[in-house]
Amino acid sequence: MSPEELMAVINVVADTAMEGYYWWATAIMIAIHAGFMMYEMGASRAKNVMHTGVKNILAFAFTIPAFFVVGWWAYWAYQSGNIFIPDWNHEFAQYYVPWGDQGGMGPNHQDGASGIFWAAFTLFAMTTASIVSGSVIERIKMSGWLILVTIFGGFIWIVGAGWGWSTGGWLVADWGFRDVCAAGVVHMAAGFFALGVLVNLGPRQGRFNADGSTNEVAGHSGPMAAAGLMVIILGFFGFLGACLIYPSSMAGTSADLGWINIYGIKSNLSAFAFNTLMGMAGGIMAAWWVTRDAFWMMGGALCGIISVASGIDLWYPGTAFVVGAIGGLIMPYCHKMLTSWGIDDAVGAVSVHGFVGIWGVMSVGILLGGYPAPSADIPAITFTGQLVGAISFFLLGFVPGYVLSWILNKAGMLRYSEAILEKGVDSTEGETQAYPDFQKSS
Amino acid sequence: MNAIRQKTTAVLSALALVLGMTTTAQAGLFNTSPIDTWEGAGAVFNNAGGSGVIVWFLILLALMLAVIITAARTEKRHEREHG
Repeated sequence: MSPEELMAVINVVADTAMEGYYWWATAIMIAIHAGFMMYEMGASRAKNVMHTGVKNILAFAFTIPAFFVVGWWAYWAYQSGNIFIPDWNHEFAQYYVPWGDQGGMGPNHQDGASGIFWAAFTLFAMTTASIVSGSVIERIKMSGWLILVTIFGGFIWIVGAGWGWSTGGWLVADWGFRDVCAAGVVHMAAGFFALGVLVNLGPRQGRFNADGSTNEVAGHSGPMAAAGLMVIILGFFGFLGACLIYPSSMAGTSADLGWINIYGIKSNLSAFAFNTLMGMAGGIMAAWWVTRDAFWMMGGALCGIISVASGIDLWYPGTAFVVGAIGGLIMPYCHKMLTSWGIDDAVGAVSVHGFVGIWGVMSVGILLGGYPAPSADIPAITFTGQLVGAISFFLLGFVPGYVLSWILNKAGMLRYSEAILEKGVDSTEGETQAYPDFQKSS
Repeated sequence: MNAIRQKTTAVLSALALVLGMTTTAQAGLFNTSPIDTWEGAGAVFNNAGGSGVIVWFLILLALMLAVIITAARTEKRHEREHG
């Protein structure tokens, strides 16, 4: 066998293994959505349980075609340094236009990478939708919800990915922004989109009294909610794994490069493993410390992972533990602050993903300054670069969330009537009853 | 009102200072990177090879101890309250 033939075989093996890697990472990511569904159903009152579950599954179904039609080519169309207007002439944007003639968006024997990367990014898109989903349970209309997730999961968040999750994006190229596992790109954008929607949606029935005081709205199943959060964490291992680029022939000479992160910088799963686990542990411990509450403690696990996400392959594990702990510490206070503003975030998603996402992005600017960029013409990591990124993702999430939900509210498509909410959405909307043999409380 | 105005001014001044810093100055101020280039890099975590690692390690231990001590104290208090 000649060296050329040997290299061809190596490339085929590497490319096939790459397909297998992302296939299974995508499968594991589905656990995120199973977990979110369990968590949200558990956090719902018995009269709204099935509506909550249907909402999750339909969000899943709508985000997939939305990301096929718009999302994937849009990701590439924002990698030319442009902020608002997509670059239709970008080479890959043209290749991935689903109605185009270049064959990038369908089965293709010469291209074993596009479909599997599209699938992984589609699951990222569905994660953004699922993050928003929990905040709005027990009062959002299905029609309004489906419009929101189609636009947000299919397009809005991926604009941010083009900005800050590629070396061509303006946040990276101009400011040296770094967000390896998407604390800003996914978590902040989704968390603050949820906040924008919540402002117009209003609280769950019974959450606030006329004098502004609050009532706890207990979900119908604590164990289901807690188990759901554990399943989400399992799914996030697929998510984080899919944030690495497998050493295939696409990455150049695989023997030289090995794994690379989304910015093309050498990395590996060992780095991810150290810091994911240490950050998660810090988040759980700190959240339990300050709340002594099972749900917030489990939310702390997510906070830990999100806190270390932006710099996941650079932290000293001891630092990752402390950074994750700070995320777990700030989460309940952010939630209290939102509640004091009259915002009813049913599962704390704005705090866990939005505010802790800010910490995840900014912790890199504060504690990981000076790390070199992927190339000489890109700035190193700085506080300012991370701050510009954090502000951008706040605006990218909040503004469309507020504007879209305001329009839906005016159109009568956002919130069920108070009479329907009183009876329960499952019975009025013809959903299957979750527990027909059990007595329900109001 | 005066106090609020003073606080706002201080925050905005600090923000302006940070935003006004050059990239180079910030890289020096917040620099924890043990490397200048990715070429041939080995241990790339923050403060690698420096004393900063010991500090983080000690904070980690202190946090774990703090959580256990607090939990023990709370349990003792509950035992006193509930018998």
